[in-house]
Amino acid sequence: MKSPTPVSRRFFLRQGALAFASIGAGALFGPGFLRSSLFAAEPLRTKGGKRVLVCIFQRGAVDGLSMVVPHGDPHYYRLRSDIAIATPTSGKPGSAIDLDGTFGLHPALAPLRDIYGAGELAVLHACGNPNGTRSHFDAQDFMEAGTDHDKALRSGWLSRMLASCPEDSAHLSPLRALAMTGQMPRSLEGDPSALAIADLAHFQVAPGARPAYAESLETDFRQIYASSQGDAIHSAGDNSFAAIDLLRKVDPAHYRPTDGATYPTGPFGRSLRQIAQLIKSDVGLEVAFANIGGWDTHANQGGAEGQLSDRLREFSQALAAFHRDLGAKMSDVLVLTMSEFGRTAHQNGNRGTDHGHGTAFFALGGPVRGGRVYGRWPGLAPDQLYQNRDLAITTDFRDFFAEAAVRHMGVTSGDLPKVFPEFRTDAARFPGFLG
Amino acid sequence: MKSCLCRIVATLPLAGLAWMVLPVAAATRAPDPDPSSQMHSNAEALHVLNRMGYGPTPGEVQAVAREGVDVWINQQLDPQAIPDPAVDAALAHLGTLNLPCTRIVEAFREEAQIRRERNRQAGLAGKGVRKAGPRPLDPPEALVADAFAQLQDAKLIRAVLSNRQLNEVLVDFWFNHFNIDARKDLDRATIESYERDTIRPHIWGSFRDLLGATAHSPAMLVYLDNWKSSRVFPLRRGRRVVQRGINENYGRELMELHTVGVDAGYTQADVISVARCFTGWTIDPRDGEFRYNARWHDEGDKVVMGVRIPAYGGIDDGERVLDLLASSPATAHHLALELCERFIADHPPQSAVDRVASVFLSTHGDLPSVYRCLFTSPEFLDLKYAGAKSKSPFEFIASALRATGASVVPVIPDPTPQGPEQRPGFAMRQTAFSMLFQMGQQPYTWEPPTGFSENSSRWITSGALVQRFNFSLAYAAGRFRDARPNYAELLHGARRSSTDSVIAALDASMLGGTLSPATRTVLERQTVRPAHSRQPVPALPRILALILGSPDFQRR
Repeated sequence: MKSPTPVSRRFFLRQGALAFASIGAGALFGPGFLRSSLFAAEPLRTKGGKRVLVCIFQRGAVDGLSMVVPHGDPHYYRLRSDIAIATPTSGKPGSAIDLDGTFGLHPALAPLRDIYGAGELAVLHACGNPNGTRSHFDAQDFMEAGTDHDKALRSGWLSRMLASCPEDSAHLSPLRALAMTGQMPRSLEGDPSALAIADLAHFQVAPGARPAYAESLETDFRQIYASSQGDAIHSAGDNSFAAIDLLRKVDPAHYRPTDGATYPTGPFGRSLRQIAQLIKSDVGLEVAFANIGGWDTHANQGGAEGQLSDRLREFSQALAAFHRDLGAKMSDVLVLTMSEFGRTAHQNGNRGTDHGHGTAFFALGGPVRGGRVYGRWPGLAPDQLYQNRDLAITTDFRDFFAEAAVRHMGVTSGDLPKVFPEFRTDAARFPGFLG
Repeated sequence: MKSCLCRIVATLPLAGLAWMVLPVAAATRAPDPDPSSQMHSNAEALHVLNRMGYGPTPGEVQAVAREGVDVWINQQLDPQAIPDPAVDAALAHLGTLNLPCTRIVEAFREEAQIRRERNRQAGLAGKGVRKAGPRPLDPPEALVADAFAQLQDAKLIRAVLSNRQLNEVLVDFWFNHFNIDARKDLDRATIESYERDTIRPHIWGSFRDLLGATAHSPAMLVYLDNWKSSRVFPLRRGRRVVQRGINENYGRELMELHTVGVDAGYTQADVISVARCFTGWTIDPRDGEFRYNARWHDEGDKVVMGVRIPAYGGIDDGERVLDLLASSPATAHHLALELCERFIADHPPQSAVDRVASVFLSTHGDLPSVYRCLFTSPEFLDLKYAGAKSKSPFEFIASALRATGASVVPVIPDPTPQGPEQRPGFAMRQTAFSMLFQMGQQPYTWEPPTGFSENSSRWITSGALVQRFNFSLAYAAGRFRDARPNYAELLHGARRSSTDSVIAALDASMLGGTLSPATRTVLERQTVRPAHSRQPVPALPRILALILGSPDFQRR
């Protein structure tokens, strides 16, 4: 597949448009938010203390070789004369933050250094989809569906994982699976209970209207839907109002993160802030999904400073704020980051990188056996590269996902073929980041 | 495009009824004096208007009931005979709608060239391209974007304003059946032609011709990757040797989705055989047109579902596969089921599916005969199924606009946008149409080849309902740039000071008099007291919003 044109690329990097969409919904009604104290919310139908999985998709294909720098591989500096990140021992400003003598974090990921040091951040390098597609469109679709190439697979891997999770159906929350996106991501396609909400502050009747006005409208809609017809429309109505009630208790518009955690402005920071708030509120959230775009750095991606660095800074600040904000709660939470593929090992003629193959994934959270770089390093020598150009893949992304499904979410090994059809994986293949 | 700065207003002064006053062949029935019989014919009229179209316009339920539901159905089955002046007038202002496909493909390629050059310059200057900030669109970029924005505008205009309601619903049905996604490579530039030249001209002919048109269309060839599919051979690219080979994607979906269906008993070997038959069906990337590349074609012997396709068939291999699949009883059944799902119920009665399938088979896939069988079937007309389906987001918005006599104003993008997120074709245009994105059903950008689900329960989720409440509130208050309710038409003849009279008028126009008691109870207390009056009056935008957001209006 050829590299996409600007318009199609912007299409792929959906997040920006989604953010605008959510802002727009509020703008229709003017400023101000509904206050939390207006209604006595119904008793929570949920229980706390659940394990939570947070998936973050870096849409646009992040350059794993700049994000987690293989400074110990001598070929790295040969391939990237203008955009390489200096080795930690160079003493130069903007050099990589050493992890284990071979790999280092991009300097813009400094907010993650202490989390790695505390053993709650693991890196998995040279991971991805062994199918060689370089189309954003197809590769995102495959990764979210949980398949290497099967276009016939209609549902998302998270929806199949949730269907295989041990559950107490009497206590399923209306906020069990939540995507912080305007449109339902492919990963959750097929789960009828999943919600896609770009901004929780807008999940209410007449967001932004005068509180008294919004309250009376909500009461009217509630009453219209209250008749006991028991069909799909009425039960969706019940669920809507249950979710609205839950969120009113949570009151996302007036959230104060704890322990001085500061989320970066922008949609990604907001997404993580709202996910953290839901986790702390014990509303029964089990799976959350968020996007961050801007990784398709074909031209002038920069080194220690520049385009990619700016994106990584926002990414790491948000993750670090999330970690700090959740504090002890982090013991129940696993964050996975993913991207559809990596970028070419060598820089291109525009001081950027083109569509490649393997990249780096992160796992962050209390359950993580962190402070380590996982995965077999395939090397960057010419004969070690995939198709003579890209970082090879030594870990199938499904082994990474499957370990999270089994060891964190409690999916049994016997159910794994339901989550990843036509893929054989087991504990022996897991990268091991959950011990 | 300069012409894009204009704003076009196409109001709908009873446009839906204009053609009804034309003399119709059938005898005009005298108004039925019996009120219960009147209610029944109104309910019937509402049902067919909701199913064969995007719902009634003000007064249309009563007009169709008066003329006879069968008369209306017959007229809809012959769309060419129905004048459509409102649509013609509105679309005349959309300048890119009839541009040749090659022109947009050319612009698409120029755009890619400009981007490469911009990247190169940025690389030389050491500046990030993304930091360039807002910039005017380059002309080819603007052309591609306008063409796509106008395709979207036209979809809503037609759904809301067209008198050929069944035709528009069927275009939607077949586009969805043969789904493509504008975000896939060249489909960005060919999608307009796909709907205009591939789908529209063929939905009133034979299924085989429609199927053939999609198989030859550049949009489908790109979307399902067949344009890359070739027999296995090594290809030299400079010093590198790339192994070429078949791509099964089209072969699989052709059987599973377009024709026989997943349970038809074909095997992986059949998928490969079908893919081999279509090797060499590709596009010329320079102009985006269909091309058969004989060098890529696998000339070997193939067997497809037990039928031998002899060696050296060339391009005819593919045609033979299409013949075979189009005439299969499994295809007849698969399509009959899908049509009955869309038009009768999420779980349609077997009797209807069987009857439609048998007509499909006996007429060799003559689509007008299939439609006639479906829309005159006792199951379709059975009021047991009235309201049994939930509206999809697009059906919801289109029906809301129709029910309220909306003006539809295509919002043509500003050529100097604020930033990439506000580019044309993107969500946030503060329009009724843009709400489809948040409701999860943005037309033309649905990635899976399955199309949107025909099972309507998929669309009624808790997140979706809240979006519908808020759409209703914003729309009733006139907050969208592209469409506003026409209260004057909606309340024609009603006493605006009387809540009962206002509710009765809205019920008659929007729901054909089927308003539920639960909703009515809430509507009856919606009054406000104007500043200089003691007398409370109906709270108008609010009553309309509550009806649009009610369960009553989510059904069709």
